[in-house]
Amino acid sequence: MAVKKLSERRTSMSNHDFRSILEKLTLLESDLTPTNPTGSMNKQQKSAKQLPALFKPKTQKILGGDPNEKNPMSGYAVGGCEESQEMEEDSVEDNNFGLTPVRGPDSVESKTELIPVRGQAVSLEETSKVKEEASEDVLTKVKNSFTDYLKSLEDDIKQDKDLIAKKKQDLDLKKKELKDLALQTKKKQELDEDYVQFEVGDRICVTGPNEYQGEFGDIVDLGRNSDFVIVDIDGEIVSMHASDVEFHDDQEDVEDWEEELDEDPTQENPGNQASAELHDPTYAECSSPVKTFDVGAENLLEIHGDESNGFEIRHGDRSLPTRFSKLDDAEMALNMFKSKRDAKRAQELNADYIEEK
Amino acid sequence: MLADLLKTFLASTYAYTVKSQYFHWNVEGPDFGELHKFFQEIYEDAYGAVDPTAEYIRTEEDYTPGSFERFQELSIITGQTKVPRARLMIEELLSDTQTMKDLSKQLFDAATSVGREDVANFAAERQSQHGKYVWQLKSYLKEERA
Repeated sequence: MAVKKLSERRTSMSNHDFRSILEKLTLLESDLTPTNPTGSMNKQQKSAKQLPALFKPKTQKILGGDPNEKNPMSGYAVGGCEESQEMEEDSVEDNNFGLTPVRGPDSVESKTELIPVRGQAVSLEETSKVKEEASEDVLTKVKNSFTDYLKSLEDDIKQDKDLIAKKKQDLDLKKKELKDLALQTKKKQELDEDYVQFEVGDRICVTGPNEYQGEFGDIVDLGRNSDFVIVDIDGEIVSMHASDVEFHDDQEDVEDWEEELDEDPTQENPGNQASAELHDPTYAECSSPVKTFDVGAENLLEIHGDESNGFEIRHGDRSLPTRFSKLDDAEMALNMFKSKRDAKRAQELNADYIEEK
Repeated sequence: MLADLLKTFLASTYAYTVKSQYFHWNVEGPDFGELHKFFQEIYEDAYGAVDPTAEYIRTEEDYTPGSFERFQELSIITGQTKVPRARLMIEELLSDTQTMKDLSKQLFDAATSVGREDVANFAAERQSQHGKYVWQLKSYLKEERA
């Protein structure tokens, strides 16, 4: 068929090329080009059958060709041919009801509308059928071309996705390495008994050999890798190495005791109360103090406990929640508290004016 | 004007009363007992002069002030926000008592000039009382003779 021959002619064209698809569509369109375009034609031109816009006459085979094949140009206004004239005459005779029409010279009348396709004079029904088949084939070809094109795009996208997945995997591996490194560092720190992890807000005591030794303060910031700490000591911001400070939560608790001691001058001697605990079976955790401190005004603070359970400071029947691992630490805390309290009292005694609020 | 001077006198008397009572509450030291009672006597006497002063203002056909803010504006006695030691309390109260004595004298002169003998008499009494406390406070500050 004409369409098949057309497809054979276009074998060199790429199936994935949009241009090829468009050309097919235009060819299809050219088969349907009206044979009687009347846009800008004069009367004489309108009377003659015109070639399609993209008409391309096929070659006729001399050897092995169809002996009945008509001239491709027959029927068109391109100079005419005997065959086309005979065809028109036959068609006129058929529709004259047996009457022989009288024709003038060079007059061509056609009462039967014939649509030439590729120069062949065929009937309307056969032509439309051919057209349908041709359009279906072309559409199928176009559809296949689209499908192949989309498939090629899909393959490209898939390849990109594979690359992205691989990249992501590489990043995950890197993160895993960093995580493992952090875990190793943490484990190492936990194994190191001397290592202490400070946090902002911790109450500390300066134990290092510097001008602030013995002072209490609060950590306000941490240095790089927590090797250095920024401490607020009575309003003064100081930086020092983490090894020069130790945890000391007891300072505030001891100061609370100080207020109690000041407010109640008629308070009983806690030493007597402590001894009462020893004899009174209703008191829990009876134990003799390891050491006793007199902080003034006959107020006694006691250290109880041992090295296995830790040492705690007691005032009467109350004890600080903080436990010290060493007796020296508890003693140092009490000494510091006592010295600070004495200094405060001395300051008050020497001051002409003290704050009312 | 006599009314304005009376208002100043009223606000200053009120501030003087509050300060002496403040020292009565917060005095400390070996002389606590005596000073605690002495300061009480001073503020009770000063408070007794508040109401007559307010009424004398009304007799001058003027309104009497009655808020801390207004008293702070009018008073020539300043308040104390800290707790001085006992000796400093005596010194400060001595200075304020002297100020109240001078203000009483000024009120006496103003009342006399406008013919208000009742106000003048009242001012004269206050002047005499404040003079007595000046003497007593000065005695506390003097060193014991050897």
